Amino acid sequence: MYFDYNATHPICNEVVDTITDILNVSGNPSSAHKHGRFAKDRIEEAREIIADYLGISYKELIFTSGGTESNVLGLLGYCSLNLEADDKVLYSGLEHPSLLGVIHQLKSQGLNCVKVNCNTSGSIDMDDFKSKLVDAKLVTIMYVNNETGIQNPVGEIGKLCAKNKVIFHCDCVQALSKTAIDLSNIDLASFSGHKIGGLKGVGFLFKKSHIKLSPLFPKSTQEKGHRGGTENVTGILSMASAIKSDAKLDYVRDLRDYFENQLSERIECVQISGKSETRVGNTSNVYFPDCSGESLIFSLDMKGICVSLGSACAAGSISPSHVLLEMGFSESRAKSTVRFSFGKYNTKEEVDFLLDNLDQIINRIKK
Amino acid sequence: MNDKKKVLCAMSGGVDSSVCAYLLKEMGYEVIGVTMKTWARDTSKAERSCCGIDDIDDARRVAAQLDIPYIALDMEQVFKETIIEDFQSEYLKGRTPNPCIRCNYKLKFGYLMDKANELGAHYVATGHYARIVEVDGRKAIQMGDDKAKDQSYVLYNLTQEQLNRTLFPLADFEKDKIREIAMEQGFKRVANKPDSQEICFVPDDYRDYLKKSIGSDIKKGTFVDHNGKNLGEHEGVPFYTIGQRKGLGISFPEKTYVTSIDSETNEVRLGSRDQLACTAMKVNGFNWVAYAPRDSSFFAKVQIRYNQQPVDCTVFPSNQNELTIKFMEPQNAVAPGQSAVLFDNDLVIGGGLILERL
Repeated sequence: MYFDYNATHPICNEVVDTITDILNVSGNPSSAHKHGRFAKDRIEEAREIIADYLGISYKELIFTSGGTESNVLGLLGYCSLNLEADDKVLYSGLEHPSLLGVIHQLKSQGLNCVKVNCNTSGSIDMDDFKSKLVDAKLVTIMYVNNETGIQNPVGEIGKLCAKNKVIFHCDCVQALSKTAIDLSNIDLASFSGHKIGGLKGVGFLFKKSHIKLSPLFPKSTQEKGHRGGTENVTGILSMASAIKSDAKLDYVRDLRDYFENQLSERIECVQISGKSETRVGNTSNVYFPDCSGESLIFSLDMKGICVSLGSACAAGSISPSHVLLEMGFSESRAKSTVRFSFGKYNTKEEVDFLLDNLDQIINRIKK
Repeated sequence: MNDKKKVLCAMSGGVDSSVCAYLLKEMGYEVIGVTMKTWARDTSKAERSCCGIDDIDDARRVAAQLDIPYIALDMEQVFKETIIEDFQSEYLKGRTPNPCIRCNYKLKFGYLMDKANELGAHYVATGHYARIVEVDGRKAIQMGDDKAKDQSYVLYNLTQEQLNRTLFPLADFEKDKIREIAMEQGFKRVANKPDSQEICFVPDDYRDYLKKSIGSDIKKGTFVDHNGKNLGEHEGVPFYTIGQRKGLGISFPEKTYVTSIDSETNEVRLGSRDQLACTAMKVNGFNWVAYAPRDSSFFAKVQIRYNQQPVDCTVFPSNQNELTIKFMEPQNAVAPGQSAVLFDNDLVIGGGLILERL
């Protein structure tokens, strides 16, 4: 029983059909013969499907290996070509580790990377943002946080960036298929295929046409010189197929709300982080006072129920969430917090089963 | 109420604990794999000692192959406070600690037992080569079948309550057989892993480690002989162990050993082999295993270092936790801070820490 959609979304039923079909496509998209042409046609069709969905031009899409590569290409690729030492880059501490990793490197290269504070409810502190935006060359702030589901005021951030002629990169990995995405004031945006029910190992970067990037691989020839390596045909098609698939947002939101309401009724003292903020409809970040989150998720695992403590980490181990710490919560609260992320294949019966088990396990752990 | 079918299996990613998990599953237990993630590791070293990132990956994969639930517990903080800080302060006191024994009793059978309670499991299992038997209504630890690999020495701290809830599935096996089972089960990466040798958080020489971690607390002092005569400068008491002959930095016409260390005066005493020999010692923090606590003297064998043969002795209990041990033959390697474990044939009577040489 799976409530960890933010870690990865089960492959959509439609995608399975697409993949089965594409296994007959054996050509290299760059080959001159008919198999090559056919494969190339299919990935270009996928590019159009995705572009149409997002209301952008197909020319603005660069296929990558996933969210991480998109973040690195977008940020590092932009900075190495366009920025110099001491240029100011704004970021938030809520970002994905792949992005914080790039920030770390940019700092070591002499860029002036400045963190924008967030408020305790978990979204960007806009006053702090406005005061720091002066002189900035680049801003990177995520659309939706993977652990809390909180949506940042990306529309407003984008407008301010445009007004001040600051380039805006936005990590949209957790926003895709969870909320309507408006890219109008965003210059660079990262996406991942497997978070929406496509295959793992594929994603894309949205890049406004006038922006120039330095590729990560030298002498790249694919994706208009932005990437090297034979295109991941199966992955790309799976992503386009997943994007077309109905995400049933209202259904998922109802399930999540049902879960949260029941939880508050049945278990004492639970607190839901970011509940007062605008959130996507599938994520529930719950603090269970006096419970070890580690034991809780492990006990659920033994019942065949999959949830996460925060974001998935190397070697399946668990350390306190940097997002919750950034929000100003204590390490002990972070260690007692569990993330439930729902999706369209969950049912009310499954949520009831989850609630029953939570009830039992928490009684035992608290003893 | 804990479930007697459920067992928490400590998995280091090594061959012993991997096969341990497999054997438990074969015995019909519901096995829960756990790895103690004990410190921020240097991956280059992970191949040689337990619980590096690579080892966690290996343990996790074995769990997947066995289809058992698995978790890597973040224990960096508790490991630092309980094991590393004690290791450092023991050396500063001029003693010679054994952090692995402390880790066994404080973490593997302490912390993990608490985790087992949280998870509703009755048992904790490890891949130690030792056997739990029942003697006169008490649980006792017996040497395992593979005498070369026997680990009963490092397990003397287990209480009766812990022993009642502990399983050592490897007791009946020899190491070669364990590697064979690992191969048969397809645990290819762990099957031929070398045994872990040194202390997991100490990269090479413990002296270098202490210099890096607590160097500023270490003060140079003087070497003295048994008449109190100054023999030169030493680098600091943590760098010496009783019985040490090499690396003193001074040459002597005759073989010269560290015979005692006094951290209060910051003196390291040197002497001949005869002066190193010790006839008796005081042991404290004694935990009784096969024997119920005794107040009268008895004969036994005592082991005072890992991988050393137990030797004959007479034991004089002072109270329940403290006793004096007299050797039949004088012993050289009696180092305060090391563990003294008493045996009755192949049974662990109990053990404690060497407090002082008498």
